[in-house]
Amino acid sequence: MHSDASTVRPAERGEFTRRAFENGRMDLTSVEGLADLISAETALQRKQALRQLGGEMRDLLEGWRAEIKSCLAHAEAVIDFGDDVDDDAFEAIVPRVSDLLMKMKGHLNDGHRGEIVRGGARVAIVGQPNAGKSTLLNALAQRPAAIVSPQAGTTRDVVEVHLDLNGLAVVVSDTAGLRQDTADPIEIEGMKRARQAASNADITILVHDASQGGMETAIESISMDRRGSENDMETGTHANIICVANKIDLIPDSFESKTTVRDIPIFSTSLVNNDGLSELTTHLENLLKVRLEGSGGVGKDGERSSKAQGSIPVITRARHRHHMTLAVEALSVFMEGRTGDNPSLYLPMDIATEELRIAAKEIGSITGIIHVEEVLDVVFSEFCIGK
Amino acid sequence: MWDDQTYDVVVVGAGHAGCEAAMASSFRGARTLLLTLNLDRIAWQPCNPAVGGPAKSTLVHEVDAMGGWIGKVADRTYLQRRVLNRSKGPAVWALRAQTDKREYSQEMTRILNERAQEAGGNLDIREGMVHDLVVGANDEVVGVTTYFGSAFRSKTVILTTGTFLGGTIWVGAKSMPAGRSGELAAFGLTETLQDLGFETGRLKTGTPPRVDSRTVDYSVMEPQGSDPDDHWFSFDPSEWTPRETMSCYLTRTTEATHKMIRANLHRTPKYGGFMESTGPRYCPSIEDKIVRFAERGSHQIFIEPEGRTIPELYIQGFSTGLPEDIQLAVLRTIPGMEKAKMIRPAYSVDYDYVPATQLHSTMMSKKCDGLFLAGQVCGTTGYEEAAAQGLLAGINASRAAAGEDMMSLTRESSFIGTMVDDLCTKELLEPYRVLTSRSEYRLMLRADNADARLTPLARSLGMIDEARWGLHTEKSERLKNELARLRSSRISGRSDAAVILREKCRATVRESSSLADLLRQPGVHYQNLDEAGVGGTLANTFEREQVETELKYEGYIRRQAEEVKKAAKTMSKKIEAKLDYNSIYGLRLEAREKLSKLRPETLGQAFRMGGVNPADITVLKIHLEKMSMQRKPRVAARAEDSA
Repeated sequence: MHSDASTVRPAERGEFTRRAFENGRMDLTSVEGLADLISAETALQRKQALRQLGGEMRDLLEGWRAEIKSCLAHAEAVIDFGDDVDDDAFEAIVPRVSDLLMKMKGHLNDGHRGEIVRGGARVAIVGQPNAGKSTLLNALAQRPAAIVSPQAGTTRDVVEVHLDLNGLAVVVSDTAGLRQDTADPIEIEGMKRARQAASNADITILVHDASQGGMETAIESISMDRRGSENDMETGTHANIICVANKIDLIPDSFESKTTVRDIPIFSTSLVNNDGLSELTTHLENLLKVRLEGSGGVGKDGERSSKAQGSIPVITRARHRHHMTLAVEALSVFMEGRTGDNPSLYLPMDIATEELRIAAKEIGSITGIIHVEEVLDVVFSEFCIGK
Repeated sequence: MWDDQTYDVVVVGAGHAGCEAAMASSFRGARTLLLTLNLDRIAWQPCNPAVGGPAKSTLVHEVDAMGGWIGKVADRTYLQRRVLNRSKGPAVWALRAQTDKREYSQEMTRILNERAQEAGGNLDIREGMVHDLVVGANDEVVGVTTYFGSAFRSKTVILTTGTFLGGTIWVGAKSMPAGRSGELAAFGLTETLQDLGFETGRLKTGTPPRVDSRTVDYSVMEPQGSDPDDHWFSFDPSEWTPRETMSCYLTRTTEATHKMIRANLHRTPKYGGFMESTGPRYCPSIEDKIVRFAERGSHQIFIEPEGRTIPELYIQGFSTGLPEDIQLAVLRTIPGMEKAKMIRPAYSVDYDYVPATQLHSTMMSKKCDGLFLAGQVCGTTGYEEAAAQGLLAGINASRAAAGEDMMSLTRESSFIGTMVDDLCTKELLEPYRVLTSRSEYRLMLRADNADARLTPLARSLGMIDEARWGLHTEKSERLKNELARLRSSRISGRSDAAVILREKCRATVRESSSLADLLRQPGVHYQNLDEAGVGGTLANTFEREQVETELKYEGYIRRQAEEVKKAAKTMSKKIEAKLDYNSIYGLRLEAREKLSKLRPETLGQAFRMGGVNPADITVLKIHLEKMSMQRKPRVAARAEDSA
């Protein structure tokens, strides 16, 4: 063997991964897992990426696709070989599709855990001007990320800080204070963005100046803002709000403070003095852990309970969710169309079968087994994938 | 000693492919010679005398929509007709007709002779066994010679030799050279093709025994009458003349049947181990069914008449490799056949075929300019598959002879296009039969809209005469107007029509519903609109069903059409015939070999070939894009490190 400059060249960005994919060594989800592993910042992100890289997701998806393909084969046989295969074979796939649909729906209903781990949980800090929102941000970040001043309305736009909160990736947004009596267009725009951040966030922290009163009204208004948020579908709105009663150093000791309002926990703090901060942080961490590790929650020793193990988040990207949702939709149409007490209103087999074809194609698009060409370009241009 | 005529097209073989090819090329004005081994066996139906069935019927409608003949001849000679898959949705409804095999052959022969006698009919018909192809310096076709020494010059040749090339028929362990039972096989042509560099392969198929109808007791069988529905293969209403029908019958194998077959398995070619090739999976022998589905105590047997004046019955479901004496004994274990007399034994045939991966999608071979192949010689089974290929070959051979561009049909245009694309890109393990599941665009490629999909194209190809074009444009106009009416007409929820529709078919009628929205509901059919007094003025069942399907399937059809559009940009990208795949960086070795061998015409064809994976396609796509960029002068030529 000899080599010289004309026969060797440096590998291009992502070339080795691309070759692994091309030669069938890795599927698209594993490639994405590798990309995630390289850019992982927290322990949980690394864990999730490793599982995806290891093919756990591919195996699950391919299992589903194999099941659909098998059902599809039965349906096609009934259509093309009706003399030999009678309609019972078509009816026999209905319960199988139903089972699969339940499983897939369960995975879709994962509270976006995989995406949250990958992209970081979004925590929005909202509240009236000068309640101490930026102070809380800085305290969480343990550095002065936001400018703080005693002047109301110091924060005009949303300030985002990426944190590693005990192994969890978190994106905390500090927002402009919410008040009624302003005509400043910049401040109004800032408030609009604050409300948006609150409703998009996985968790909203309301910071209120305890010396000012009116806390219940503020909580009410934040609950309203989050109403209908997709993030609360599984948990309910109140579970994702934390209230901070700040500046307790300014009120008399005799003041009897509430610990919850409508099931929303209230933490009394004096952020300038770091009072009550650790209780707040611990609660936030626990809340995030429950969200990210599934309804099974976290055991005392930090290990996953068996129930949580069973519900691995399959979906780590919007791309996965998009295709999964379409697949679930197709299977739902199939089920609606082929069940009920009046067979004369059933979807004809050719249409019902088309829905199975659609579902198989959508799942195939996630792993890249079919229709790969559109997503390939995106995957390889978006990421610098390991050499 | 060349014949003094020079032909534009010589068609070799007068089966279902050859007849369509000769009719199409002569209609288009090409001087055509049809050569056949036996003038008395034109358009013969050596297996089941039936036309249509799932997907096959769509092929027949498509051939008819393009000016072909198989549909008309089937409509003129049917004995029994049924619409299959009635409960499975309009996209897979399939007309199937039992035909009179003698009448069918006579009618096609009459049509050919009529063309030959016409002034300017451009058709000669002769008997002769084509023995050799004559090619020029560049392997382009010059003509053919026959066994007895005739020679015919021609610009193009279409081979439609069916099962005749090197054919051998088998009954049990006994065999003889034959193209069909009682007919000589053709020899010489296979070697000619091999000498020209064609790869050939061998396929096997078979046909069940025929039984004397006078010896069968129908009273213990279940009769299967003709459907009363007015369905036809041809889109031409002048063909729609109802005929007196005959019943088919259904009976079943018994435990005694299975026992006797099991006891004699060692005498069948497959289980006795004296024939290796197996038949098509979709057409298993009765012994295969009994071995593979041992748990089933009984299998259906359909008894089908072969003609009004022919006492022969086709025993569908009873293909077998058993020797003749056991065939009869086994037949007699089936209810109603205890006293049956067998007229012809079941036999298998194996024959040479030319894998169609060696053809362009125009049906012309890649090796020899002017040489076309069509029908069973390309590895298909079925009269419908053959007819469709014959039509395409006939159109293109006549175009090539006239120096015009040839045409091909895309997968999304038709089942013809789907089939030809499959044949050109996939290697066969068994004879190819068209199936509805082979099309990814099944909901678009229906029987009812075959004319809308293909007649305008066929018109532009000179395949549709003035009268037929007039009928087509009138029908299109009627459908368009009716669809517009259904979309714009609304009925109130309190109207009488609404009451009737709710009662008849559980329709949901709102404050005001458009007729189109009503028709989209699963329980509502066009006839219900008629019953409610809000039907239109369409000419027949066909048209009523078509507008209903168009509306009910609208969303799906739109989705498929969008998919087609999305794929078309990439997949229709042309690949030049001389592309050096070895110079393309990043292609896997297997893909290089496969692509170099099959030489796909488009990226889509490459995509569908076995042995080429999606990543290879991406590499190829990038290469093609680079090439087309380089051709543009405004892009400065970059130093390529391809050395």
